[in-house]
Amino acid sequence: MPPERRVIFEEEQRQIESILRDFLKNSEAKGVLVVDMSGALINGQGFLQRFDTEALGVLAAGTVASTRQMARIVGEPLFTDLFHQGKRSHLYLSLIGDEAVLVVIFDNTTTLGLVRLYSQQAVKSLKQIYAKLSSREAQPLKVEPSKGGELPESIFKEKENKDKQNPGE
Amino acid sequence: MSSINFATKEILCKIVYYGPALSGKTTNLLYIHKNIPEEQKSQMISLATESDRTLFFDFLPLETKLIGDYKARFQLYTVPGQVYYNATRKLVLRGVDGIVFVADSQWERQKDNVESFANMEGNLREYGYSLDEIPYVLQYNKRDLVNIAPREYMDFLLNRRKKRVLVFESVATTGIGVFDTLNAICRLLLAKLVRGQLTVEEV
Repeated sequence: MPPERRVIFEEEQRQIESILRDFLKNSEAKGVLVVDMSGALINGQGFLQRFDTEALGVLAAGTVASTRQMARIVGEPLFTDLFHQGKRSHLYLSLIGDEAVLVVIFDNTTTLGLVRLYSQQAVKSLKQIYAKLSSREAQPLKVEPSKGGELPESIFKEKENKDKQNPGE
Repeated sequence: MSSINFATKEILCKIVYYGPALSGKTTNLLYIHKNIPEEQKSQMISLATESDRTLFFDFLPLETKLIGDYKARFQLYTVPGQVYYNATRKLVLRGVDGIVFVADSQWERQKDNVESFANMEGNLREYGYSLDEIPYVLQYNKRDLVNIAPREYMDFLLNRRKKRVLVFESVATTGIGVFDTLNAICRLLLAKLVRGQLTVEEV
């Protein structure tokens, strides 16, 4: 079986966005992300400017993956919800089925109970969207050659390396 | 699992640098991070032990404007090479789109290369993946050392599947071959995504 390919369409993206916005309004959390199991950021809402959301997403996916293994060791199929408590900021992670993770960033202006309650509601709605996405056919991306469809020889070019050791100097 | 986001016009691919312990996987990522233009990279994350050995993974995201209006994002991961970290190695492989296998060229490490390659095939199999479907390239690293095996011998050990793959000789500490390897795997992935399945020869 080849690895799955996930395609997100605009319609679903809008729906995810609206669920996350409602969640923020109700839970009074600072920010919220939806991240897929390989760590890819699907959507993020709230005050996220000062966070490296991509790194947060990848680490959240890593945490979920390793916690899943810990769960197995103690005889649980999985831990669906994880809470990381800090002094001022906290993280709450909740699994959206097997597909993705809801990552909530919140502080002491709200409570864990409120975040948990509204997370459960959001996860329920997000699961429905993911179920719909799974039934959609993944199609190869069509790119017209005139729009730059040809792949360049080197996608990433190395900077002029001034640090490179020159034995003559 | 590569994802195409039609809303944000983003293609996202996960590339894993696999290989035995101390073969130079993290060194590859560090060199890329240091030598890629600022606008194409973000912060590199290392989950390492105190002695600087990779514990869970290293992670480096890269971005390029590429196909039409689309941006391509590549997430580069390494796995911990030590034999006893197989559980975490397997976790990092989840959803992988492309692999760079970094082999150590020294004679005495050839056995480790072969074992690591077999371990990778086994871990992929557990996810239902196979090297027949996942694009990968080989990198023979540390070519600057004196006690190295000839390329042909390493090909005999590692590049013996039905479909031969691209091989790059490298010295990751000074950057020789590092960007060639990176560009090769990125091209393989994009070609597969954009045009459907392509063989190595066609790319």
